[in-house]
Amino acid sequence: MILVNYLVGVVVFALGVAVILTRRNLVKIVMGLSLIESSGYLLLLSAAYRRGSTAPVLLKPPGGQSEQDLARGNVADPVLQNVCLTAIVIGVAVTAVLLVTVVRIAQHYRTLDADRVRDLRG
Amino acid sequence: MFWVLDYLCLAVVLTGAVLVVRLRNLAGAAMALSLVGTVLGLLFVVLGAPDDAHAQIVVGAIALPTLYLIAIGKVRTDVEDRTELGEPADDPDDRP
Repeated sequence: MILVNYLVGVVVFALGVAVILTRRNLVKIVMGLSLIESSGYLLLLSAAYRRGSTAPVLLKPPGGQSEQDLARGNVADPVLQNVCLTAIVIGVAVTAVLLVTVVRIAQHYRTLDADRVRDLRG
Repeated sequence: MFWVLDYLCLAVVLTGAVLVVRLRNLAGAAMALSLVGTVLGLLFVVLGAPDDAHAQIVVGAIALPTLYLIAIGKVRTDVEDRTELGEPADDPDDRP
């Protein structure tokens, strides 16, 4: 059941949100954002998968299948896979920028506690 | 066979995510995040996306843990000369 993939994606998303809401360590908050990104990849690729499909690389028909099967498109959805690839590349760049910001905050305020960074208080 | 591998990878991903939440040790949490990224890459192979698996293993297993460990190490370092930060002197009157 591909539904289990969706459920695990939702649970990982909820764990990431829980980390962001409950932890005060800034590095831990960035880790929660990484968890949310991972759940996004899982949801995209689970949506791209079809029953019994192969990778969308069409050198020759996979074993036990004719080219007519491929004409009906029994491969995973390449569009969603490309969206996922873009998300992975953007995700690592965003994580790097956030970590640099955290390091600067730690050098300036000498703390990693989000509640003790005074300029961020509302 | 497909569903066995699928559920196995999902279980490891879920365990790693719970470890990221539970571990107090920052370096340990970074390693748990690396575990999540690596096994997610294996799961992408199972789901028929080898290109995404390649990118995810390079990013999740190598690049992200390196970034996190460098950041954790930098955070623990004390800055000897505050002028090297390129900021104005730490004057209490400057603070809003």
